[in-house]
Amino acid sequence: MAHLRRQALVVSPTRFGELELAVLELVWSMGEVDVRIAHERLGTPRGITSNTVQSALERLFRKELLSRTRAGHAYRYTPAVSRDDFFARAAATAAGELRGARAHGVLAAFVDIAAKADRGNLDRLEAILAAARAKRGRK
Amino acid sequence: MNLFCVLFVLAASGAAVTSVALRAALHPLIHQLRHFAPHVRVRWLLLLLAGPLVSAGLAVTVAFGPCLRTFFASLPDDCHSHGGPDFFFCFQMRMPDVPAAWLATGALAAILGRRLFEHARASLRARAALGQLRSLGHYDHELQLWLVPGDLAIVAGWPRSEVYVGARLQRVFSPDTFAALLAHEHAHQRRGDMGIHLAAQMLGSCLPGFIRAPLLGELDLAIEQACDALAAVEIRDPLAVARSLLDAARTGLASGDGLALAFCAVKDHLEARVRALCEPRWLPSRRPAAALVAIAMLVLGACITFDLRLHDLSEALFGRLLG
Repeated sequence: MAHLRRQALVVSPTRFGELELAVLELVWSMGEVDVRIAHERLGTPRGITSNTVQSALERLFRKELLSRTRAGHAYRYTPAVSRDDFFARAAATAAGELRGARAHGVLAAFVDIAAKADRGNLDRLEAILAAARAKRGRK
Repeated sequence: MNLFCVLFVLAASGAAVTSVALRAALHPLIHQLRHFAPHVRVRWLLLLLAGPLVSAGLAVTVAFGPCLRTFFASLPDDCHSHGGPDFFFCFQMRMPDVPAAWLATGALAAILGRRLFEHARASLRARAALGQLRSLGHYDHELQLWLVPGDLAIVAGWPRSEVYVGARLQRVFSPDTFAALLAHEHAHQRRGDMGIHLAAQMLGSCLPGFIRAPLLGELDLAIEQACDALAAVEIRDPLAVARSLLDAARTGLASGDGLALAFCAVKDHLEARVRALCEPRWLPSRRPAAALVAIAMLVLGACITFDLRLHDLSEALFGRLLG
């Protein structure tokens, strides 16, 4: 159960705020940051306190997106997932949530295929398309 | 039994009879409809979705027509003429409450409320997920869409809908097939399809599942095909649109979890769309319009001819049922 809960925390990107994404971008670009640097780069331009930046870092650590090591009285944070992995996972989770909405007509998807659509069926459709192209070529 | 219960029983009877008739004729009807151009089918399917509700309204109107006529024209009440123990539907009626009718009304209202609630919840969740996607991607002003991570291609939002396309599709697709995909998605925007989906969902909420699901599925196919057709006209190559559909399907399968594109739906939709683009053979759209006018005339004629008789019949039936 605890494992599932941890996994849900890791993969669920639905509660990311603008600041958290900015913090992640900063950590990805710098490789390692502490609260002071993060506040300097992100907090000061936004007019937010060091505590708010610290909270964002803490939340990202709890979501297992950042790792941290103690350096004196402060923590130094490093990325726990790569940028590509994070975006792929976040997009997949958002798409998964949209899946439920699909059944309620909230959105229109470009291609609707049954989850069990097989390659054989796609190959058959490819053959139909190829035949149509050949037919058009002859005209 | 008070006026509200009478109204409910009449409306529910009208809707139920139409629903059952529609269910019986649904498969041949859908088969026939598939011969017509998708934009024509969209109109027909919306009409079919509205059918049971229209019947409900018609049943009430027909049964109450004579009462309203006599009431507004200040004519003498002629409800004595058809017999029965009392004036059942008239405005001066004295009827006992029937708990079963109230229970049925409550149950129906609960089902309707639950469906609307689920729809609202799905909308809110979709809105949150789309917000998340927007924060992960960026708006491409040239292409007029949100370029987001992953491999999805969707249109969402109403009244202002927006296009979301996965950056992976842009990388994987050839320029022609990507242009076909964009033309398809922008066709959804131009046609206002999200509004049509919303209206269909609202109409479908009032219908029993055995006709709601097939009609909504068929409407979905018709809408997608209508956009395929518009995209084919825009890029002047229907086969490029078919190509993009197959490429998208393959990309969806290759992504493993199939989250992005493999939304559950009727399995033959992809095949129907590809076939329609490769060999379009739509019948002229005049025939459905003529059939619709004929049906409307028939219903109107029947109402005018039989309203008094239906009124008398329904009152007499209620009279017998209530002793």
